[in-house]
Amino acid sequence: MRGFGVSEQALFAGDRPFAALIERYPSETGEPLSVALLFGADETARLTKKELGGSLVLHGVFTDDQLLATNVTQRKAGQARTNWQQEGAFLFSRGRRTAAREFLKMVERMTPAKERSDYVKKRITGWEGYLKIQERGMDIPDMRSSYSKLAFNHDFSRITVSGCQLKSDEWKQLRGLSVKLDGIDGDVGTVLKAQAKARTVEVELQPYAIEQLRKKASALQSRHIVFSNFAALSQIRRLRRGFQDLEKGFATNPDLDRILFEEKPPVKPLKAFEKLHFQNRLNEFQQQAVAGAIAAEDLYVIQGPPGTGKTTVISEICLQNAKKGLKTLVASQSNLAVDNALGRLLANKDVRILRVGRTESIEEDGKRFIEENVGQYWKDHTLKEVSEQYEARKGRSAQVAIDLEETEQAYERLLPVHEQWKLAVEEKKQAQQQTENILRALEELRTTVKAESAKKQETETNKQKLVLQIEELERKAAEYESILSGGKDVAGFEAKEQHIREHIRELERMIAAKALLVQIDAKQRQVEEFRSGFNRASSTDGQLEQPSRALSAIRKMDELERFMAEHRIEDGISVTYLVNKMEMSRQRVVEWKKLSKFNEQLAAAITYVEARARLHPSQLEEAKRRAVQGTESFTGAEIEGFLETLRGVLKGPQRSDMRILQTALGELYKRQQSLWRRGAKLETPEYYAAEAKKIFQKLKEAVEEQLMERMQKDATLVEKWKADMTAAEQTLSTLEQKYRYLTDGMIQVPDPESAVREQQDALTNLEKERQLHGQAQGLLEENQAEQKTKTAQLNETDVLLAELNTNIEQAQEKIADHEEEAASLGAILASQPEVEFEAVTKQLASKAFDRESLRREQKNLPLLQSVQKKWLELLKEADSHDLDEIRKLYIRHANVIGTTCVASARKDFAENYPSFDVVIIDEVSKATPPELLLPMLKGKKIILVGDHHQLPPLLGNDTLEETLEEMINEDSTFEGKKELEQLLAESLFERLYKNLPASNKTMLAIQYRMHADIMETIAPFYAKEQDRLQCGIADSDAERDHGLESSTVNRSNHLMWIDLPNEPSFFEERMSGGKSLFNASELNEIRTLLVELNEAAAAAKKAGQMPPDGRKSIGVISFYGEQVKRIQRMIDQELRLPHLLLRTGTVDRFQGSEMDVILLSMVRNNRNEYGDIGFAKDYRRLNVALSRAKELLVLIGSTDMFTKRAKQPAVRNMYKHVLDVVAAKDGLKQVQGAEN
Amino acid sequence: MDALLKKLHTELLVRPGISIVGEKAWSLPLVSYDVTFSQVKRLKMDILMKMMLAAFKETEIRRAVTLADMLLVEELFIRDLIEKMKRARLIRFEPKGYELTDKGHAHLEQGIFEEEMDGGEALVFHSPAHQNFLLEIGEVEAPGSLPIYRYAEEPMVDTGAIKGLLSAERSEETEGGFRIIVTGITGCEKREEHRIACAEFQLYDRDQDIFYARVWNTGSGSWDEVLSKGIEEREVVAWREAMKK
Repeated sequence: MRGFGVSEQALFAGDRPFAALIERYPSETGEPLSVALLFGADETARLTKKELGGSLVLHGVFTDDQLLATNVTQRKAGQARTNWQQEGAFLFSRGRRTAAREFLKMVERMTPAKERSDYVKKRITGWEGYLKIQERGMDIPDMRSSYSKLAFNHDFSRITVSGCQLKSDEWKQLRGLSVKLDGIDGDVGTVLKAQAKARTVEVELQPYAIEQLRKKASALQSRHIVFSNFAALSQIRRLRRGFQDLEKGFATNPDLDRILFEEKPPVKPLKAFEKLHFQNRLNEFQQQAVAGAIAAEDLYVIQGPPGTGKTTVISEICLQNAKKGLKTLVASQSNLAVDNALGRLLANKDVRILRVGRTESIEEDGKRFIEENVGQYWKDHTLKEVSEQYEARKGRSAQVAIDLEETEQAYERLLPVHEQWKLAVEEKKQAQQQTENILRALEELRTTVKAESAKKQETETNKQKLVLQIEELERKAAEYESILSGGKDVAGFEAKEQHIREHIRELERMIAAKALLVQIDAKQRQVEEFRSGFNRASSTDGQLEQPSRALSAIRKMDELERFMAEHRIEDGISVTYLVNKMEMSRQRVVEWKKLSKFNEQLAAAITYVEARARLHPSQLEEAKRRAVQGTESFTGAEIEGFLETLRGVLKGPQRSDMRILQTALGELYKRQQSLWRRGAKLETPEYYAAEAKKIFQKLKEAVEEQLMERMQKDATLVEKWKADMTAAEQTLSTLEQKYRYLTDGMIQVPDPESAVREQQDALTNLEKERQLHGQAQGLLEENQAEQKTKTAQLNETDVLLAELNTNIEQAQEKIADHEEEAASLGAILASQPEVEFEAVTKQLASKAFDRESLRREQKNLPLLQSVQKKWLELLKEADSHDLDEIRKLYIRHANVIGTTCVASARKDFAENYPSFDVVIIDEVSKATPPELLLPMLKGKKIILVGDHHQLPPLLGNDTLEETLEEMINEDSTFEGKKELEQLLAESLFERLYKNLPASNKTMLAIQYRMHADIMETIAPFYAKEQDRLQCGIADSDAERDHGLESSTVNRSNHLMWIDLPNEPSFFEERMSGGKSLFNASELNEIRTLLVELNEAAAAAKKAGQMPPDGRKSIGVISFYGEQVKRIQRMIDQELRLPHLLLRTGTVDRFQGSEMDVILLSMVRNNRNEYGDIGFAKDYRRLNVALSRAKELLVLIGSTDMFTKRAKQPAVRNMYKHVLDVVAAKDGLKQVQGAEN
Repeated sequence: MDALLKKLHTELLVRPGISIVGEKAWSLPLVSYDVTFSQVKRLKMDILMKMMLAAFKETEIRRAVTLADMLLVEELFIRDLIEKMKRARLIRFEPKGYELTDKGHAHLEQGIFEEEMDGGEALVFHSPAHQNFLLEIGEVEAPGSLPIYRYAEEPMVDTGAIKGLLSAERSEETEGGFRIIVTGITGCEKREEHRIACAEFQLYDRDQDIFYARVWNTGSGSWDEVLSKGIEEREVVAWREAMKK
């Protein structure tokens, strides 16, 4: 700090805060926040107490929430504030106080300067690199030379300067440089071609230089020429500075970099749409575009296909902005486009247009708005407005008097009518009141009727009930009487009861007998069963004694088994055990025999091999010992197999091989040992035979035992059957006796149970009858008393009913009266005097208002008229000097500024207009991104208008793509290559248009230029957009009638293709030594056609279809410059076409223009292998070519070439569609070739 | 004249492949008029300010918008000028509206005051072929032997154009903030007819197969665009046909 002559004490000495800018440095999370405080010049002076010529920057870090100053630097004075700096007031305190929480939070939220800058840098490296390369080789010092002669071309558009004295490397740099000639003011033009050999330079002249040269060229004293690259270089530098400014954060909209370069532009949501009053007549899409552009906060993009009224939209946006007091910049890539846009803006006193730029390059449409002319423009406009109003008001005084008289009369006339309606309204109100009263009374009466009717109904129901009750009572009385007169008494009832009870007892006895009979039957069956059981058991008893004896004779096992099966001896545990044991011992014997057989075979083999192997006895012993030690075990089958193999070996040639024999012997010993180990586990066969005998005896004993047990069981069973049988026979005889006793002398009845139930019912009835008879007299008396009461009630009810009927009748009479009265009021109520009254009141008020304003006008008119008269006089007389003040005011308050993209970055412009509320860029697709950036930097809000389906920017004669591709190919180390390639794939406009949310963009989808037939050819180019391209011309045939009729063209033709054969005589040709192509046969077709159209136009004039002094505007365009040149030459030199207004140009140059008729010469026609159609393959170029004509479009070229021979299928389809539409509209004309 | 023709020849033939297929000399008719006009001298004053002073003098105006509506002028302009006039103490705001101060009254007087001047006289040349009026021409009178330009037209006096020409020339003369203004043309007498010598070259560019014309106008001392275009439009096709034969 001391280095700058500042004591740190100075910081604390401040009695008031220091104003400074704060900027945050990037830091990782967790790292302390670090910041820079940038002091302004004044504050620096306060700190240093002297002029430093710069300003101080204090760098610091926050530790423990305290700012620790790390160092102090100085920076140049007067640097602008960037978007990531914030203003603040800082008070430094000496104590170790911590910084305020809110302050630290604010710093944390700030975007660090560098982070953001890195990010932008990455995205724009490509473009910067591109400009760097452009700049390279541009830093050329001015070259001065003498020359010998100047020669003009035929139309004074170019000069050839010969005899220039330049070094050989200087010659190479000349192309594109600007040219000055001694004696001529300003730049003469730019170098088109430099030929070192011939020492000539061809210069394309500026229009303003031509005038001077026509006069002075032959009389120039000093013959010196200066070539300079200053203009081009400063333009490139301006473009580069645009990027630098963006990086440094100097854009008016702080988010501009992110909006332009992020994948998804982070645009803010739109403001609420307000109700706009449009000055122009706009279609729905245009309205949407304007409303959207007004509501957008930062960016709005308008896609405008050909003829869709982009300029109208721009005009409306400018006007809406002006009304809000906003300042708008209208920028475009070329002067022509800026002038076109401004020229079509609506003249309105709220809009003050100013065209800024070099006067000489501004076109006619824009000239009105340059500084020198705005006073005049303003005067013309104001004069027109004032005189219109003044003239309109001239007859006004008399008219006002008449109008006032009329208005007053009308007012007077209205007054009585008004009164009349007022009365009617009153009357209606009264009627309403009366009706309301009546309705209330009616309501009451109706309630009464309803209540009385309900009462009547109830009474009638009661009466009905009483009648029924009386009838019932009468019926009962008759019944009682009949009971009493029936002649029955108490003795009779008792006798009858006795009789019934006896009958019941008899029946119950019968039921008991029936049950006994069932028991007897069951017992009999039981006796039978026992008897047959006894018989069965007695027959088997003693049958087993015979077999028991036979068993002792059995000596063999299979005999015993047969015996056991025959006598069904059960496999009890002991029997099964013994049988298994028997079987096991038999198997042991078999195994013993098998082992013995193998042992013999092995022994024989061993003996044989031992003899052959000729081993020393000790070796033999060793082999045997090894075998004894082995624990391997071998099955019989294995041993047999081994022996078989061994036999084979011994028969073969190896039989004398000692090693094999020794091995075999070892193996044999191992097997012998294994066999012996198994044999050792077995007993001798004799042992097993003795054991089998013992087991057999035990088995026989077990069988015998079982037989004995069975014999015992049989004897017990016979005894049991016998005892059961005897007991059952005794019970049966007792039962039979009981039955006989019970049925003695009994009469049989088929169903005694139901007979008992019948008799019991009869008994109950009898009891009831007896009781009734006892009560009948009392009941009869009661009944007669009740009858009397009910009859009295019935009489009362009849009286009540009569009364109710009278009441109801009276009420209904009253209701009818009231209703009649209400109906008579209905007519009054149905009338609508209020509507009339209101209308008349309104009329009266309006007349009163008119009368007042007319009276005021009558009073003011003379004054206004005299002021305006004077004003008109002054305006008419005014010349540019009188308008000086106006001009200054106009410029100061200009709110629509027009300039080119590049000019918007000029120093003087930047000083006068540092920023704009809204920047509108027209024809965006034709500008390069660096160009677009310059005006964008200035806008808070940016509106882009363009069409990416039309041609991209041109750089010299090449498209941007071609230049960039060339650049990438030439310089592979180019660092931004990747970014550039990416940018190449999609234009800035296209990317923004595609990636923006729907709210921030609109496509103007209604075109008003082309006849519907012509529009159909370009419709597919917009098919992928949200809205289909539509034709806004209501009746194409009427509104786009070209009025021409010739042998080729009919009036109904609006779209034609003159089809030339794909044959050599119609082929394209190349300029000798040039790149460009031309086509002579197409030239001939055009000649014929133009002559025809000229005659047709003459005829149309005669027929009154064209104004007599009019000329049909025809554009003859081509994909190739050479062809255009030849067409122009032909028109100038060979044809006289007074009825046509002709313009020629390449398709690219025609973008943005429109003509009544367009002839398109397609040039390409060949039979090359590759089917190359060159420039014509770009759909955007075709789109431009097809969309220039309003009334008639004629394509001249080979359909085969474009729809069949073209290389890519997509291109062929594109032309195929055009051909299909042409054919459908009956516009295809064949030119006959030689081949068919 | 011969020297000039020779020089023009060389100049035209500098370019290789150019040949002169025809050459003509003729005279372009011009008419000179003695014009008399009226003029006044007046203090230079901006019209809007003058109008506003006059309006404030004659009517009661309280708000800028009222005056803006009367004059159909942007309210902003009116407000700016009101401020300016207030600062210069030409007007002041009174309860009834803006009023002129004494200084304002004097200023308006001066602005309106026109000093009548004696009528002026001028010699004006008119070229019917160019349809324009000039105050001077090069002093080249063509020899009587030359034929008249074959597409010459009748002269037409356009007083509006003459007044415009004279106003533009006179308005340059300001002295002490005063300007002279041409208020009307009072007389226009034809003085005499003139002949300006012109040399016409009919050229053919072999390399480009192009016919074109060049006309040297000795009056203006330049290659005359209007005249050469006029000839080209009418004759080029015929020249080609002639060459074919």
